[in-house]
Amino acid sequence: MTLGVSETQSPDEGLPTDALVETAEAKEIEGRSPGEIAWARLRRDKIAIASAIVILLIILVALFAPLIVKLNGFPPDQFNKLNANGDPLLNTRDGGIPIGGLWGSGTSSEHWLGVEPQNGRDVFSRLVYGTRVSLLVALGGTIIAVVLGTVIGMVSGYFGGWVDTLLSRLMDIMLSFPSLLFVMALTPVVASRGQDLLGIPDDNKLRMGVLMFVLGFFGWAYLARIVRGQTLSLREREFVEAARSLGAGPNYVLFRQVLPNLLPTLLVYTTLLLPTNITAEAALSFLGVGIKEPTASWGRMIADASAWIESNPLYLFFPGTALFITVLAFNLLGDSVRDALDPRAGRS
Amino acid sequence: MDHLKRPGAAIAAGLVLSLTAVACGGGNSETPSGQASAGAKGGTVTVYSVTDVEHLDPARNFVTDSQMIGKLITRTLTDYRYDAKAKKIILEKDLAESYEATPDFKTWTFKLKDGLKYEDGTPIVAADIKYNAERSFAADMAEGAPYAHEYLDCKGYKGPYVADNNGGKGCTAIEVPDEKTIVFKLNRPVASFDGTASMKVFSPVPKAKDTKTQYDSRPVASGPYKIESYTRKKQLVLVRNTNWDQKTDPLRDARPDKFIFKFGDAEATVDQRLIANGAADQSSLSFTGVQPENIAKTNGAGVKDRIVEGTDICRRYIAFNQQKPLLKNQKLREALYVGLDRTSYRDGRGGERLSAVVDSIIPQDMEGYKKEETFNVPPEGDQAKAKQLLTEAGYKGEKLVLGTADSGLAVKAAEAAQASWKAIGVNVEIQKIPGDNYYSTQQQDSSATDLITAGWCYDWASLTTIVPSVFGPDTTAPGKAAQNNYARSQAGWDKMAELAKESDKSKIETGLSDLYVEIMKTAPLVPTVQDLNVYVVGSNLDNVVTDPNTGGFPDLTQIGVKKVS
Repeated sequence: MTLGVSETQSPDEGLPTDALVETAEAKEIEGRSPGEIAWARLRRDKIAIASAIVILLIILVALFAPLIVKLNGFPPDQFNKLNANGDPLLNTRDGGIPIGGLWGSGTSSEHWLGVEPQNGRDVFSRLVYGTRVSLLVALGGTIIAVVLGTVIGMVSGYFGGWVDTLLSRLMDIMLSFPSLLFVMALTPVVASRGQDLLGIPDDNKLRMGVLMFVLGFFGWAYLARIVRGQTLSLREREFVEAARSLGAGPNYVLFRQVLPNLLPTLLVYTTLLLPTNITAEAALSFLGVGIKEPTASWGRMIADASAWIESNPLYLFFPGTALFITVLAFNLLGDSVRDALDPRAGRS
Repeated sequence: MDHLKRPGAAIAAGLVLSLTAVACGGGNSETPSGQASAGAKGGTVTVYSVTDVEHLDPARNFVTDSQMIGKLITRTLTDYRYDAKAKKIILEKDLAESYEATPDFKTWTFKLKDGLKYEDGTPIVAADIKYNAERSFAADMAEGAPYAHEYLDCKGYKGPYVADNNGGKGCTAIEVPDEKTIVFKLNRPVASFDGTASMKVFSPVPKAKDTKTQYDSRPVASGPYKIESYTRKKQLVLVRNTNWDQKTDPLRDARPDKFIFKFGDAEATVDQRLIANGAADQSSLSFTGVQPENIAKTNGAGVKDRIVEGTDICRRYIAFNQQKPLLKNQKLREALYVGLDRTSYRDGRGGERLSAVVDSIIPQDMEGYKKEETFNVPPEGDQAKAKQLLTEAGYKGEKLVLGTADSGLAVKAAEAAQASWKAIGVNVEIQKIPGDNYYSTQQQDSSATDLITAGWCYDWASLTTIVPSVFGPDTTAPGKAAQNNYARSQAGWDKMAELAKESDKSKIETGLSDLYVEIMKTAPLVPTVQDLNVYVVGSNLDNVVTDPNTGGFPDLTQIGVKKVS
């Protein structure tokens, strides 16, 4: 029987280290909780460590965006016309394409990743600030989805009966909803009516709120199904029955006994939902229903750059690569966490 | 696309504009001799347009793109023809056989030609022209040219859809003594009313076929083409109107048998198609010029000789909506005027080949144009002066909303304006409005934004179609700003009323020229750029010229295909 996480005792520190000298495995099996085993596996997984470092870096970039941008001295929304020598950055005769640099991107010692065509905004600064939008919206959406999915899944699985029927059908409906179309229709409506009906100005706070809500609202159902299944099996376990027979109420059982046992699942799901949401946010910005100009976002950068792909391919390359690396790092970490938590996984 | 608001072309006959329009080069040499002669008829021309046109109903048709299409479907009393060889815009008689005015220019009589027919074969009569002019008085038709209700003495008349209005007599200032004669009695001397008669509101609409606002999707053809099918926002197909007689029409060559207008394809997609010149697109062109990212490609072989460049008489500007309390502050408006970097704005609109900075909404080569000397700002703007004005204005970081049509270039330009105002410390937010109801949105006081990007093309080469149109009161609703007075400014209204009574043409023009300078001292708007258009057209198209008088669009009345397949 697997022990629930909360039921495990702290590792026995008093165990003499030389008591089991024959095999390291034996020592671990003896003395460590499943959580610790997973952690040890994760630490040995080079891909996991590399992904974690990349993610940490990205988070630091997002947190310290203003400081990083100070390094090159070009605010993300500033239009630049001339370089330090006083030469023009853009060829305004030919539609405003950057002058010089690698592949017509305008890269230079001042503008490390080049400048945007037509307006001369610094691509590096915009990329750095775009990280904030991508991470914040994806994180917000993921948190909403995980909280909703967990609560609804647990309630549905634990109580069963008509509650379960109702919530399960709701999940089915949500899963079959054409969410992308709905979002594209909803965002402009919320943006334009928000002011009239609710007195909320149509600014980026509202736009980001809408994006988070929408990503969360359409993301919970899948998790809720998994949680429901696990809850169904967990509620029949002896420790749950024991708790109930001692008079524990549903709240206690759900949050003190079922939830801790769901944590591994939630952890895996969260790390996999985050990159999905980062991509979704970029897709929505690409389609023009994301945040407003001139705030930088990776999706909008990709959308703008796609027009210039032939004359200035690097303009598309940078935000595309940033998005790719971020999503890949989260996905690989998610996979590693799942492998580490799954005792039947092939890797040690 | 945000096309500029303007009525059908109108420039006094014979006026020469300096134009950069050139006929499509290299055409004839590509055509094997004998296969097609110049002016050959037949074939299908495909026209791409990013957005559908707002209105085809002649009483409401007042935007450049729809005017170009409207020219194929409906005829007017007079109209302007662009002579590409002479680079002249010439006033021709369209439906009118002859016309004359009384010496005081207050009564104009037009005689119609013989043998004019609608698409169903019924004759075009003078009463139908009167009827459409009356329709333009209706509240539902407010988008159209305002000249009928402005110049005609029909006070209180509300259009033919309001029962018993004006005692059921209609607009009594228009008289129709017989089927071929129409007489306009004006409330003021209008020396160039023959130019006014080129407006689409002076098109015939048969009363029996009128479906009010529904007429917009299916106007009855009097011109060389009739509507075969029209799916809004998707496709408009025009086919030959067999009841149109070329002999009566000096304006339209009408060479192709069919026009297909395709709406909704993105600019970038269309550029790719036209540059590639694939088999399906050799008889295609676009209402949208080449996008900035593709300008460099137009220098390439195989594309260079399919380039048509042109400019137009339109000027773009950003109006400061004085309906908004914040913008009643003159110093704030001045700060915005002075602080705008118009070179950035130009680059947002595609750089020097697609756009040029202007300092006035009056075209430079027009009589009455004066160099801007009130604020005397360089094209880059004057940040220091703007910041000082901002302090004087007592501006405290309040948000201003800049409205723009939701299309690539317009948004880029809006971002440029936003950035240059941000540099002086003004907090500007962009609101994107779909292009096909942009002007309708901005004309409503309730939905208009604080800062309004707009454009204006004069109706004929007279300041009477610039100054009163952009700054004057609305003649249908006294005391209300005119439909194109996005600044909602009331400056100079009394002087305008005085000048309206004047009958000496040169006094009017100099008066309006001085008045423009006076009004601009209140900074109701900031002139930004004029458009330059670069079009790539299919290799099978013949005689492609841009019509500076109709927004600089390729002139569809003259176009043809080289080889009819």
